[in-house]
Amino acid sequence: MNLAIRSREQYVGLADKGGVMQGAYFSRSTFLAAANDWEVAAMHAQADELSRAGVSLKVTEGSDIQKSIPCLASNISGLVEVQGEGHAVGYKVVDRFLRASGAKVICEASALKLQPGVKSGRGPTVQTSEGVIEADDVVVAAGLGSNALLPWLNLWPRRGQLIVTERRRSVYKLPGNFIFASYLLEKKKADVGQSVDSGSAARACALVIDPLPYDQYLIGGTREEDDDDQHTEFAAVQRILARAVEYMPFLGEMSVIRVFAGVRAATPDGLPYLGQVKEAPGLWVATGFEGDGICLAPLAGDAMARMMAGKDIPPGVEALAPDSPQRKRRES
Amino acid sequence: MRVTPDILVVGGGPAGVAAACDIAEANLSVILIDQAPKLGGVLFRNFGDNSRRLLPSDLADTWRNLSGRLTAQAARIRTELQTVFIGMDAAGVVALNNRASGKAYTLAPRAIVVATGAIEYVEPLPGWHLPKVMTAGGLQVAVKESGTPPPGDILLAGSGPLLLAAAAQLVKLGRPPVAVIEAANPPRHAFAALALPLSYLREGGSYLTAMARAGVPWLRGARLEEIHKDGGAFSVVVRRRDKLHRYRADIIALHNGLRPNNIGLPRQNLNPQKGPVVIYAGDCNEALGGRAAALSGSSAAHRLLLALGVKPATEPCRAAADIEKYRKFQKLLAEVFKACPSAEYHLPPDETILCRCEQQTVGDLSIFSARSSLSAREVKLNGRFGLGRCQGRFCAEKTRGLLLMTHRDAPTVDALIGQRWPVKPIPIKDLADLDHEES
Ligand SMILES: Cc1cc2nc3c(=O)[nH]c(=O)nc-3n(C[C@H](O)[C@H](O)[C@H](O)COP(=O)(O)OP(=O)(O)OC[C@H]3O[C@@H](n4cnc5c(N)ncnc54)[C@H](O)[C@@H]3O)c2cc1C
Ligand SMILES: Cc1cc2nc3c(=O)[nH]c(=O)nc-3n(C[C@H](O)[C@H](O)[C@H](O)COP(=O)(O)OP(=O)(O)OC[C@H]3O[C@@H](n4cnc5c(N)ncnc54)[C@H](O)[C@@H]3O)c2cc1C
Repeated sequence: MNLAIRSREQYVGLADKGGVMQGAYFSRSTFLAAANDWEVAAMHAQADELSRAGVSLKVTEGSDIQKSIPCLASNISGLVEVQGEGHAVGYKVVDRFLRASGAKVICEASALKLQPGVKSGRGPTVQTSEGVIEADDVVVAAGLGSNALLPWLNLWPRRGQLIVTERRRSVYKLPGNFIFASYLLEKKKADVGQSVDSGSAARACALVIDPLPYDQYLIGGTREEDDDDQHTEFAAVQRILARAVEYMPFLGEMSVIRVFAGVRAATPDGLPYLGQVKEAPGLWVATGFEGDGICLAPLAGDAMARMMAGKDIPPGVEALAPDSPQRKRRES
Repeated sequence: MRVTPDILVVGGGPAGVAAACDIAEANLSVILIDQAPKLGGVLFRNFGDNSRRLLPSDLADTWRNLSGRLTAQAARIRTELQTVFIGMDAAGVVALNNRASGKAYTLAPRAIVVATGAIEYVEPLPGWHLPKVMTAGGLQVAVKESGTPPPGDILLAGSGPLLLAAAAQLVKLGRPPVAVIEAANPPRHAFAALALPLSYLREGGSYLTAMARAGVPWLRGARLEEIHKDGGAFSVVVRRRDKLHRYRADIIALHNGLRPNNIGLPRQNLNPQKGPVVIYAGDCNEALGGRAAALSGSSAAHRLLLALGVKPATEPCRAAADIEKYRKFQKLLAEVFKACPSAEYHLPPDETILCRCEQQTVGDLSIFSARSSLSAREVKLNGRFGLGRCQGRFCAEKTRGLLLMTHRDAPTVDALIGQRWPVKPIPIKDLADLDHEES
């Protein structure tokens, strides 16, 4: 959590006038919402954790909830506004960083095999579909694809199905991203490396309603143990949307224009991999960000650059070293 | 709970109805859906109304025959109108949405015939997106539905025989168009045209005669370059060789050809082991015109039955050979209507709208393509093309076409759109309340 807060601060810095993230990152609040007792409990647990980390919160209860945000149904019984959060548009973030870096991009080139480097000699070599590349340092940041290059990473797929609505002005405007507390539970389950049930009954019990620029909404999402990102199902989407209209009836009138799936890469202990591989000089890993890779991108990139340059790194990052013996492994 | 029929046929034009009849005649049960309130498709939806006399008699006979077979098979064919095909998901489940009742439901058919017809292609030019600028086919449909053309002077522009058909239709209703602007010069290809069947030539001849009698100019080798608002009307600029012509009109109808309407639809599959069998029929498979559509429906039904291991009622299927004939005619027509070099399409000015849903322009595309690599994903997410409300149905081909002018490796329409649902937008409340039919 502290790393996430730090990363967000970096976004804020980069989004300042003239910064690379201007127009790609916006400050806004996130709302945690709960509709039953166990969701209320999960919401407060999260709020306590945030509060201890120094985040400012605003708790609303009872009928004040609908007074302050009129589009919420009366079954919402708990609401916490997490202030000073932000919205980073994933594809824009990638595009901005890429352009700022000036790096040469070779598209449609698949890394096939890694050859470790030798101590105080040459760095690793990478065999790709477009030829062999030698470098002093190599960072494996291929998401779930990192498994094929370094099988011991043992990354697990967590597919998410998402829904995008048409652009449509409504009398209501959501003041931020709404996370329903069951989502936190579902995500935690993934974080501690527990198996998320891949049976369809368990799909889609986690709900996030995210207002996008231009009056569209992104509604998600499932967490399924599967790596097929072409796989979307009516049944799963129906379950997500049924809950969405239950809590925000005005969404019922909006039309869905797109449904898609993405796959998150989860690690056995729920922490990302970020650091050097000990026995392989010049080999680095940055992956396993599960559902937080956009949020953590500035921190991860900056920390990686610092580690390579031998500079000091933010506290907490050393615990993310990929092959640290303290890290939990999971048998496949 | 209703029981799912064996086969879903999407689209009630000649292709879909022919397929439904052939399949039912082989003793399978069929659900036939169309988003329109009547069967018949583009050509026959208003059959029996005032439009009837506008149809060539052989086409009218085709529809009369299909309607008779449909009635005879009523026990095996369940027809659902005002019902939109939403898509097929990864589990092979199909969702349909009744637009009248707002009810959506899923079913799991063994096979699907997709017969969603064609859509018109319009080349983007400044002003093409304005209200009262429509497609020539859209104008025809509006005329068929209301019986009279919309008020005001009408100008037709683009290319192809459909412009002539629309012009003749307007003449018959006593409202001749201002002019027909045509990029090709068909009389130049009279020799090739002679290889077309007599029925085509007669049809074309009757259109031209009607236009000539009403004094409608057919400006050939010419291109409409700009549409400007001018008071309550439009003023347009037409280039013919090096000369500019100006016209005024209240309504502009554009048309640059037909394309299969298969954007986002499930891919064809003939192997029942890999999920439901999916076959395209009619203009959705290949835009070959009304005469080939019914044949194509029969051919699709035949292949579908074989894939399912069911014996067709009639054997062997002759449709395929006949379709080949129409394919040849279509090629000839394309030759006859090939744009003159001086009227070929070129990059329109930057302010031209390319994607109506997101109001993205030709200029936006060129700025984007100059600085970014052109993967389909980047064109969509960073470029904002092909991901609006229409799901790329109207801009994907335009986007690819313009990108191709400068980039040889521009993503294909298929890479841009792929297979996805919903094929048409569907209200959240309808999806949240999906019914599931038993099979
Ligand atoms: C449904 C869903 C919702 C999400 N919501 C959020 C959110 O709200 N906030 C948030 O912060 N994060 C969210 N995420 C997570 C976020 O998208 C990921 O954590 C992030 O994309 C991870 O970034 P990455 O660079 O590690 O990997 P990726 O984005 O997966 O990128 C890896 C890249 O490596 C390439 N690659 C793979 N193998 C090879 C190879 N062998 N050779 C060459 N290239 C290769 C891939 O093509 C890909 O481009 C969500 C994810 C999903 C699926
Ligand atoms: C504007 C226009 C004018 C034409 N003029 C002529 C002409 O003058 N002479 C000629 O020979 N041919 C003409 N054609 C071609 C002719 O219409 C077609 O060749 C013929 O109708 C094709 O038959 P079909 O069954 O393949 O498709 P269609 O007749 O187009 O039928 C397709 C049906 O599918 C339905 N549909 C589409 N999508 C969905 C969905 N998602 N869910 C549910 N239903 C759906 C539509 O409502 C439609 O009824 C014209 C075509 C167009 C588009």
